[in-house]
Amino acid sequence: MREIEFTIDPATGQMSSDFHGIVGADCDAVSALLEAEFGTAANVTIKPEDYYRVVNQGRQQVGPGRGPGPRR
Amino acid sequence: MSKYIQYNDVCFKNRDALVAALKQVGLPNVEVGENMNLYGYHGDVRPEVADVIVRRKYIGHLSNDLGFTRTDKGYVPVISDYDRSRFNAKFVTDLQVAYQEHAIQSLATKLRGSIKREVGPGGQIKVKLRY
Repeated sequence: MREIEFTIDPATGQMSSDFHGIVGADCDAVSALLEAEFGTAANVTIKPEDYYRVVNQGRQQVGPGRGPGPRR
Repeated sequence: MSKYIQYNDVCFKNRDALVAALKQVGLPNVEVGENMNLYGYHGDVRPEVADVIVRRKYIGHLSNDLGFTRTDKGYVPVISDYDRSRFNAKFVTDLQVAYQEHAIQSLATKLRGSIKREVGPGGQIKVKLRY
């Protein structure tokens, strides 16, 4: 089961989102849908444990297959 | 004549969610189109155009039209100086909150998911979307 948990602060209008169980190509699909709804101002950070977080400003992506890889 | 100002820092990407949000914050009569002229409180045509409009007759007899114009980022508000007292920061925040909830609903539909909504003790709205 994949889950996105949105938290909206009615006082400020700020929204943040936690993503659980979203892996692989699904990340890109969900990211594209988020951009369609909330615009390019979304900040998407993908963490190695299949989790990412969205806040309202800026954009950054990290996670499996996207980082510099293990040190040798 | 009250000057119109376009607020590019507030952006609504999904037009249908924006229309639904406007209805939720008390503006149910919304006109949707492309590059429609805004009208001032005298009924005068203004050079500014918008794609989502709440006509002045639904706002107040001294008000000007409220518009949202389409940009690369999404729909941004175009508000006359006079109406800034009504369409102030609180209005924009309330509209953003309503928009976010409708946009989440739209996202849930696209993902064929279900939504569970809760309001926390601090007033924070938590929406869980499962799919």
